[in-house]
Amino acid sequence: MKQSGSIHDQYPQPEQGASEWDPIMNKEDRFRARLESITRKAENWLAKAEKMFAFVPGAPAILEGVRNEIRRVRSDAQEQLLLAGLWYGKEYSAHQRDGLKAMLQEEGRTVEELTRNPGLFVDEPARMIQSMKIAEVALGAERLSVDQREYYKKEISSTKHIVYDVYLGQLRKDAHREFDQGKLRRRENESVRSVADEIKESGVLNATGMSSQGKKETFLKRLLLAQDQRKAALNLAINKNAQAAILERLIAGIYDRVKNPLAEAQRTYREEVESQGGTAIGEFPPDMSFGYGFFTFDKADRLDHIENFLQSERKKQPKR
Amino acid sequence: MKTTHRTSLHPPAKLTKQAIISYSVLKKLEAEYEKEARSILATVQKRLTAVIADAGAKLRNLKKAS
Repeated sequence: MKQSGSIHDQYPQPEQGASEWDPIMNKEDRFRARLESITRKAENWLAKAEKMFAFVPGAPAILEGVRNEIRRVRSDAQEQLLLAGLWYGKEYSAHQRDGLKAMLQEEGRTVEELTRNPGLFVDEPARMIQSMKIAEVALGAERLSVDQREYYKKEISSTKHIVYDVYLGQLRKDAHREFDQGKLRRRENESVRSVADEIKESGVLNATGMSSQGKKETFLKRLLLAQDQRKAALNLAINKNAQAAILERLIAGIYDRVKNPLAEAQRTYREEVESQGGTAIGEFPPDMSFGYGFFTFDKADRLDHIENFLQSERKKQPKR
Repeated sequence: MKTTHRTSLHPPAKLTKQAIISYSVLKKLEAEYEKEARSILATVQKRLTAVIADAGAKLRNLKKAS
């Protein structure tokens, strides 16, 4: 049953058939459809006129001019809608995250609580999953994979107690974030902006004979390229600062102290980073990224699960 | 039967001031985007209407002349 006054009532709800939590994208799709409808009407008029004036001397040139104009107007509008959606969508996501964090804080909650306890606002497994998705949005974390989501569902519905949220994945993410929030954040923004400017200046989006889908794909590919460059820079920075080694030891350390992971992880992280001459980001930030799961330790087989998890984490460490 | 335990923590009872502000900003951003998108489409509509009207007039004149 939906709880009155729950967080789900307070934030914009996803609209059907489009990306969840992205109303700008939803609207963009609708406006794009409206644009197609408008231009299709013009094309219908053109088709009728071509039949009606087929044998009138001089008419084909006029009609060709109309055809070119429709194409140009549509192309310009697609570009404008794309850019507007991109920038407003970015603003929207950023504010959505900040707003949710602020709201939780006002309620005396933290995003950490929400991630540790997805039943904070709801008590049904299905709604817990939604709550997790809210946490993901709040944290700007990557979306859960289908496998991860299924795993959470199973865990939540089959266990009596959620004992610990083990922040193993978080350790890696925090080190990344330390760089991410600093110089790389600026680099990313510059990169995205420069790609958008470059595309606009290059006239790629105005190129005739290119489908709207093709234009969009070109645009998105360039954005993805910019993101790849950012990731490469991030990995370089991490290697340079020996963060990977710190994290490797942290993961091993966590395994030994798995019964009290958070406090130990905070201490170890700070000590390790400071011993390398770095500056730790203080306490683990309250807005901890979504962890890798909720583990219960009431059964021995859980430790096997953790061991497997740790092994997979080690494989993900950047090569040094 | 296995059950899911409800937590002892209560859901937020009402919108807080900060949440209202945040929500209104989100709505404002949506509205601004809509305004801009509508403006883009209005320009398209206006431009195409003008193009068609102009072409229609020229075509009718050509037909009369022929």
